[in-house]
Amino acid sequence: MELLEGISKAIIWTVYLVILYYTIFWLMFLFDKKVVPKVRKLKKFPKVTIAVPCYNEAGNISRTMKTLSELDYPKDKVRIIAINDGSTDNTLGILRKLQKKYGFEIINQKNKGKYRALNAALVKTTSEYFVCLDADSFVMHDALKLMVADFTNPRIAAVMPVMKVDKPKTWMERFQHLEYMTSIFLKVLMQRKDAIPVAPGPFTIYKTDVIKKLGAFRKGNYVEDMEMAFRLQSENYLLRQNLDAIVYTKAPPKFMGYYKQRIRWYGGTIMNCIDYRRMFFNKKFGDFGFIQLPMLLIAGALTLGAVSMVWVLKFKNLYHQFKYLALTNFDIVTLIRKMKLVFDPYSFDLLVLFTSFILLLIAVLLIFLSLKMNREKMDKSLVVTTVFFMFVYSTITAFVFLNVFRVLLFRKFNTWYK
Amino acid sequence: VRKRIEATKYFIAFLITFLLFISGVLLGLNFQYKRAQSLDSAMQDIEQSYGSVLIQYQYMQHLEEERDCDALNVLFQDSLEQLNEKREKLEAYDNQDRLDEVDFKVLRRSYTTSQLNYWLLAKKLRNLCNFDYSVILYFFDKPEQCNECEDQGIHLDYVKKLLEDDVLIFALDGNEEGLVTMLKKNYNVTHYPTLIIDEEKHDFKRNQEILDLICDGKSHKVCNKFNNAPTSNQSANSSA
Repeated sequence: MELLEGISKAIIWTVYLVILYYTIFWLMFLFDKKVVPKVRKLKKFPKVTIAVPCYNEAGNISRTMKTLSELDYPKDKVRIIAINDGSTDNTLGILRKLQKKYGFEIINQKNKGKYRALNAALVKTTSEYFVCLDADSFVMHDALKLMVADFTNPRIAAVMPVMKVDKPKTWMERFQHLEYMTSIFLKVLMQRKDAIPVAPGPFTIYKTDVIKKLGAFRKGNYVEDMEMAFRLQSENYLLRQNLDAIVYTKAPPKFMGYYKQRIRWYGGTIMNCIDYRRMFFNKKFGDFGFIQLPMLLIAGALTLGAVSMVWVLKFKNLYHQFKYLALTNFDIVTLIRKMKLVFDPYSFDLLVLFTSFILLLIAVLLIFLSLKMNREKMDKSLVVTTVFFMFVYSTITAFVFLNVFRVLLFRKFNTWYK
Repeated sequence: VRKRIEATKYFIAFLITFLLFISGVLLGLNFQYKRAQSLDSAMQDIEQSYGSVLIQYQYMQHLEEERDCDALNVLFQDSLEQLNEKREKLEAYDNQDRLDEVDFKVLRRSYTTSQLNYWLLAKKLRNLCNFDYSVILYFFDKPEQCNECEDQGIHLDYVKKLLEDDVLIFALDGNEEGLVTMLKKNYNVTHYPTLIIDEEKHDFKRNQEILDLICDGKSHKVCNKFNNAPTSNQSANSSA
């Protein structure tokens, strides 16, 4: 028992110290003014191909194609290719109708997966830039010209927009909205050390010749966008996060959709980390190999550790209270009548108090800075969402991670993604 | 193009983390010192309180008539209540992480001594003033060594809540040396939990069993309620 307690305390302190170190490391770059990107105006508009892979997107595709048709970019410089990846709904029919209205190309193929759909469009691409756009994402009209302008350095191979959840209504959508904000903030910090680990599906712009040279998109453990980012990092290319170009995307509104998506994302992340293990602590790959990849690999374990720490302590307390009630025949009346409310500041558990305070401070600081960077107003609803985000959403994420480990350990990897 | 690592940044981050960690440890030490001080001053209050009850008892011993036993009882019970509050504090602190074990050992010993003082005084007062409260000595061990001790503590706590001043409970850590060892020998305590309820030795007892033992022939208000209520056995017999 004492050994078990000792081990659990060692885990708590390790989790706490690693999270603390990682946060401090990245927050230090917040004040690194010299690498803040400047907004640049385009003098000439290079050619761009936008690939929209679609699989059963009948409900979203019209809006997606409409936003593309409204892009503030010379029409003769933009080529749009929609790839119907063997949809079983009316996606192809809708695409054909929209084609007459907006004039884009369609590739129709049997269901082969997203990365093959992207590659089908990439083969046909001759333009300087290649853009991926998930069919459930909607682009702001100025996004393309703002992002193309960010290719200021020949080593920059990809530029990403600010991704926001489209019209977040349910609790799950609101949580993800806040999560996306935090993720953008962290990416801005990470780009200062060229350590961005993912180029998300909704509207990342790539340099065509670079991704063709690297061998196009791969299955990448079902997260082809992350695998491509890892590959770019392994060749020491740069990835940039634009802060003005906005793309709205659909987030799973209910838990089950979210759960499936995250199992794929988190599981794929771990598998890709393992695939690229040669980069771990390798100076050649800079901070990406030295701190980012190892952290991505253990992020799940850390989340699980931090959340379990809070809940195990809470559960211990609840268990004791329940036991007291059970042994006293649930005589709640007597217990309430004889209850003494005495405030003793020294009765708090210091370990819990101090570590929780620091972790809470980190969480609040991250969320505050993220909202500020994303120019989001902190209204009542957002305050409530933030509170639940810290306590409920973190628990949901830990639960997903627990299942990711279970899936990776006990099932074949290629059976769970669907 | 090779990427560059700024080792200084890693070191600065490590330094800040280390400083934050150390400040946490120092804060903890200070917190713990203050906590021990607060308990220590509370124990001194109890000693003073015990002293005044003892003087009053000694004075009343010399009085043949007009003994104000009720006033003495009020003083005694108030003082015991204080002791009980300190026990709760000590138990709460005991369950937490400590950086300094020695301070707490001293405090625990001082608490046990106070308990024994009050126990002896309780026996004397009962003889002097014919009080009919019950006295329970409870010998316990750490939960890791004694499976039933945590439950026994809950049952006793509940009995105390029900009977209030009509029962005096003194919980003694069986691992303490000195007078506790002597008492264990006197009452032949060989395992935990052991209860000495009005000088009779018992093993683990549930709250209802303790109430039955205490209330046998006593006239406490709560006991009347319990004496009149059918026991689970009686209910079973009558339904059969």
